[in-house]
Amino acid sequence: MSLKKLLKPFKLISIAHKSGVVTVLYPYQKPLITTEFRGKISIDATKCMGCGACVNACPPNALTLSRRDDTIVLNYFIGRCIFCGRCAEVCPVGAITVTHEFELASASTRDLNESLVHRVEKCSGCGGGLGATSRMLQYVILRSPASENYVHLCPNCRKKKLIQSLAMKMGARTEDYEG
Amino acid sequence: MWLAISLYIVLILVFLLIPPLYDGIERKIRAKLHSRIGPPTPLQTWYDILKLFKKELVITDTGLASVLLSGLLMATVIITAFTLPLGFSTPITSNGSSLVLFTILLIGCQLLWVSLTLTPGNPYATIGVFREALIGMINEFFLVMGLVALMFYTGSSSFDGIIRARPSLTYLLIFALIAVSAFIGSGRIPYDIAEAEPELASGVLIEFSGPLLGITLYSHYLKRAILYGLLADMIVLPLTRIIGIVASALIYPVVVLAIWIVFAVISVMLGRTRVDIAPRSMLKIYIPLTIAMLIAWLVGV
Amino acid sequence: MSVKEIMDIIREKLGGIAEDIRYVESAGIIVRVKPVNLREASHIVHDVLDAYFRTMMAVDERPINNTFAAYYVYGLDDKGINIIIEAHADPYTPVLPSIADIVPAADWYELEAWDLLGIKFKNRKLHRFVLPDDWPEGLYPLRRDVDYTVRPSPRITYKPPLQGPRLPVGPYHPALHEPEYFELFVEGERVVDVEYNGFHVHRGIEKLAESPRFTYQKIPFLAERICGICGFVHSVAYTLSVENAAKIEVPERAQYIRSIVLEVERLHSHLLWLGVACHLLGYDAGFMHSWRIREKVMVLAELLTGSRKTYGINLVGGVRKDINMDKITAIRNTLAWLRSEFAKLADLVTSVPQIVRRARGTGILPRDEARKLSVVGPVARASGLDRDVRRDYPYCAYKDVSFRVPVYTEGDNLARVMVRVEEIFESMDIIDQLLDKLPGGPIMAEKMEVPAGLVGIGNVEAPRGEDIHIIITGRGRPYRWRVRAPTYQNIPALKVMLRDAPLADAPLTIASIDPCFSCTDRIVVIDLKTGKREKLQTVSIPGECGCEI
Ligand code: SF4
Ligand code: SF4
Repeated sequence: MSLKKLLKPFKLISIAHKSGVVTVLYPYQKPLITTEFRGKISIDATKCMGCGACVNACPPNALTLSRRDDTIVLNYFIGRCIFCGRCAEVCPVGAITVTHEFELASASTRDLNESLVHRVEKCSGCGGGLGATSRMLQYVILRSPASENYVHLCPNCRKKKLIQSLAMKMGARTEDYEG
Repeated sequence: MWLAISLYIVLILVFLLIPPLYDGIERKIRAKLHSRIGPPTPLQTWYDILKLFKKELVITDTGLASVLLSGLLMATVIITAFTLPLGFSTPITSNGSSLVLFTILLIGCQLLWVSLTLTPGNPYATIGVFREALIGMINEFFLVMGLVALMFYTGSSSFDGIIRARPSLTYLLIFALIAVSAFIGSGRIPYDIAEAEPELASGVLIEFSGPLLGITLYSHYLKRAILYGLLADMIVLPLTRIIGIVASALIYPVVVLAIWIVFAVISVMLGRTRVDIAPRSMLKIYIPLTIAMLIAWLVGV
Repeated sequence: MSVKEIMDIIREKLGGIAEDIRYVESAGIIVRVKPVNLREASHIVHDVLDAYFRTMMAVDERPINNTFAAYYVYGLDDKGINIIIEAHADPYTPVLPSIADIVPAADWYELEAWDLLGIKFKNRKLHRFVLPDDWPEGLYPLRRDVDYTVRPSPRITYKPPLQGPRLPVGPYHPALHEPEYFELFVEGERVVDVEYNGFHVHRGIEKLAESPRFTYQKIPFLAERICGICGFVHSVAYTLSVENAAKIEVPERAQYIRSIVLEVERLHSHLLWLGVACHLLGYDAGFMHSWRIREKVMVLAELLTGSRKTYGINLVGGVRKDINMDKITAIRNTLAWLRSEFAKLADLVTSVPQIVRRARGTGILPRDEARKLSVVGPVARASGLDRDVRRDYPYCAYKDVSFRVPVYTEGDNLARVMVRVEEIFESMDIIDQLLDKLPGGPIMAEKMEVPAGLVGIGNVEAPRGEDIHIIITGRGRPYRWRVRAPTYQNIPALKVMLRDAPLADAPLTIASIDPCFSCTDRIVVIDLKTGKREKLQTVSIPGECGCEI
C-alpha cells in the first residue's frame, strides 16, 4: 500500500476545515427556513364564513365542522395537521393562510385547538335555524345578486314563498295566505 | 524535598481531575472534524459524570457485584495513577521496582474491567467482554513486552531508569510499541469493538446507569490518561535532566493532552474493525515493530 | 417487440389453460386461469418467459362477482410489459394452490393474503404473518364486510416461553428505533440462520384508504406517509396508478416536476444511507459529512415543495407547486456544489481501510438467488440483475432523459455501496437534463373523472428499488389499493446474505438493502449459549422501515 493511499483518510481535515461548522445553536440561532416552508395555518376570523370547504379537503381531518344549536364551530386541531396547505388552496374566500410557525409543542392539548364560532342565521320567514352563516349568505348574494330575495329563508319558507308567488301570478289574493 | 512533595500533591490532584476535561476537549475537536458545534463546553464530560452521580442507582440482580467491582476498579485505577511519575520522579515512583508495580496494577485494572463488565450477565455485554478479552489479551501481551523491554533497556525496574535513558532508535521503537498498545488499550476506534455500538448496543456498558456508569466512565477516562501519561513520561522524564523538575512537571499535562488529541484525531479518521480481522491487523503492526526494535537493540542504535 | 407479438406468444404458451386473455393498457396483459391451472401458468410465465415476479394483489371481489380474486403481476423487464395472472377462488372457502415453491418471491404475498383476506393456499405452511398473535381467529380485516373501525378484543394466546437464559427484549426495546426484528441464530460470532419477525407497525393503510374517510385526492397524503424516507415515491406511484386507470392526461410540466422531486428524494435518501452505513462501520466522520451534504438537499426539497420531507405537492392529475426561474437557479447551484462535495466525500469514504475491508466480500447475494427472489433496486443491480423501473417501465418524464444504470456483479456490500454512489451522480445528471427540457404549461389536469371498476398499475423506482401500486377504482375512492414497497421484496434475500457471515457484518448487511434506515442498526441478543450447534444464540436485529402498509 502506498503511503499516499494510507494517508488519504486524513483528507478529512481539509474537508472539515473548508466546510466550517454547519450546525447551529438551536433555538438561540434560528434554523433556516426557506420562504416556501409550510407551517401551521391561521384562519382569518374576519373572512371565514364557515362553509366547510376546507374540512372536506383536509386529508387527516384536522379541521372539523360541528353544529350546535344556533352556532357552527370550525375547529382546527394542530395535533392532526400535516401542514399540507390544502385547506388554504380550497377556501373560497382566502381566509386561510399558511404560516411559517412550526414550534408548536405544548404540554396541554388545549393549546393545540383553535376554534371559530359562527352564528347561524335565523330564517326571516319563520324564525327557525337557517343552517347558514350571514357571511355565507352575503357570499351567495355577491355571486348571484338575484338570490337576494330568498337566501334569508329556510328551505320550507322558500318553498312556501315560491308557491305563494306562483299562486299570485295565477290570480290568488294575498289575504288567502295570511291569518 | 518539600518542593517535590507539594508539587506532587498539586499534580496528582490535577491528574485525577483532568481526564474528563481532556475527553471534553477531544469531543470538541471531534466535533470540529465533523463540522458541527459539539458540546457547549469542554467541561461537558465532567457535567455528564456529575449528572450521572446525581441519578438514582438502578441495578440488576447481580447489581451488588457490579457495585463492588466498580468501586474496586476505580480504587485500583486511582492507585495505579499514584504509581505513575507525573513528569518527575515522585517518592513512590523512585522506588526500586516501581515500573513492575505499575505494570501489575495496569493488568489488574484490565482484569477488573473485564470482570466488572461480565457481572450483569447481559448477553450483549458477554459478547462484548469476549471481544474485549480477545483484543485485550493480545494487546496486553505486547504492552507488557514493551514495558519489559523498557526495563531491560534502561537497566532498571524503576521509573527512574527512564530519566537516564538516552534518545536512540531503540528507545523510539520501544516508545512506538507502547504507544500502539496504549492506543488500542484505551478502547479507541478501530479497536473499540467491545462497545461496538451497532451490533451490541453499547456492548459492555449496556446494563450500567447512574452512579455506576459514572464510576465506570470515570475509571475508563482515568485509565486512558494513565496509559497516555506513561507515554508522556517516556518523553518528559529524560527531559528533567535538562529542564528541571518544575518545568517538566508543568509541561507534563500538556504532553498528555497532545498525545490524547493525536490519538483522538487518528481514531476519527478510521472505521471500526471486525473482531476476526482485529487480531490479524494488530499482529501486522506489532510483529514488525517488535522485530525492528530487537534488531535496533542488537545493532545498538 | 410490440404488445401484439407478446400476446401471440402468450396465446401460444398459455392458450391451452387460459380462460381469457386480454390487454389492458393501464396494467398489462391479463390472463385469467382456473385455480387448478395456476401453478402451471406461474411456471410458464416465471420460468419459461423469464418474467420477474413483481407483486400480487388479493381482492375480496364478492360484491362484484362473488369470488376472491388474486392477481399475480409478473414483469417482462426488457419489454416493459406486465403479465398478470388472474385466478378466482370460491367465496365461502377460498382456496388457491400455492406457488411459493415455483416462485419463491411469492412466499410473503401468500402469507399476507391468508392473514388479511383468509385465502388458503394449498400445500404450504400458513401462519400468522402480518396480524398480531392475539388477533382473533377467522377475522380477516381486508374483507369488504369487515368495517375499518373494527377493534376486536384480543384473543388470549399462550406461547411457551423460550428455554434457557434470555432477556425480555425486542421488538420493543429502548435501544431499537423501530419495532421489528430479525432473529439471528449465531454460533460464537457466526450467523447460522435468520428468521424475520416483522409487521409490528402494520397500520392498515390499505384498509383505511377504502374507508369513507378518504377520497382519491386525500390518499396521496396518506400514501406519502407509508415511508418516512421515500414518501414521495409512494404518492407518485399511487397517483400514477389512478391516472393510468382513469386515463387522466397529466400535463407534461407536472410530470417533469414530479421527476425532479423524485430524484431530489433519491439524492437525500442515498446520502442518508451512505451516512448510516459509515456510522455502522464506526466511521462517524463519514456519517456527519454525508449528512452535512444531505442537509443542502433537504433545504432544496423544502424550497421546491414547502417541506423537507412528506412534500405534499402531489395530487391525482398533477402537482400543486410550480417551479420558477429562482428555484431553477437554486437547484443548479445546489447541484454544482453537491457534485464537487460528494465527489470528495465518496473518495474519502472509500479510502478508509476498515470500510473497504468490511464491505468487500461480505453479505454476498449471488445472482441466481437474486433472480429467484426477484429482488429490486440497488440490491438487484449489485447482484448483476440489470433492472431499473425508470428505464424498463418509464413513467413521469424519464422517457425524455438518458442515464446509466450502474450494475455490479459481485453481489457484496461494497457493490451495493458503489451502486448507490454512482446513482447519486446519475440522479444529479437526470435533474440537469430535466431542467434543460422543462416544458411550460399548466401543472394540473383539467378534466378529472375516475370511473369505477378500472384497474391500473403505477410503478416508481424508489431509492430502495421498485415500488409498485395496483388499484381497482371504486366510487369516490379506490375499491382496492395494493401497495408493495421495495423492502418487501428485498428482505427475503437477507436470509441468503446473512447466513454464514460474521455477526459484526450483520448490521451492515441488513443496512445494505437500505430497509429504510432509521431503524437498522441495533441487535438484540435473546439467548446466549456458547458452543454446540443445537444450542444456538439468538440475536435479533430490528430492520425494515415504516414501509409497512
Ligand atoms: S394544512 Fe392540511 S392538514 Fe392542516 S388543516 Fe389544512 S388541510 Fe388540514
Ligand atoms: S373554506 Fe374558508 S371560509 Fe370555508 S370554512 Fe374553511 S376557512 Fe372558512
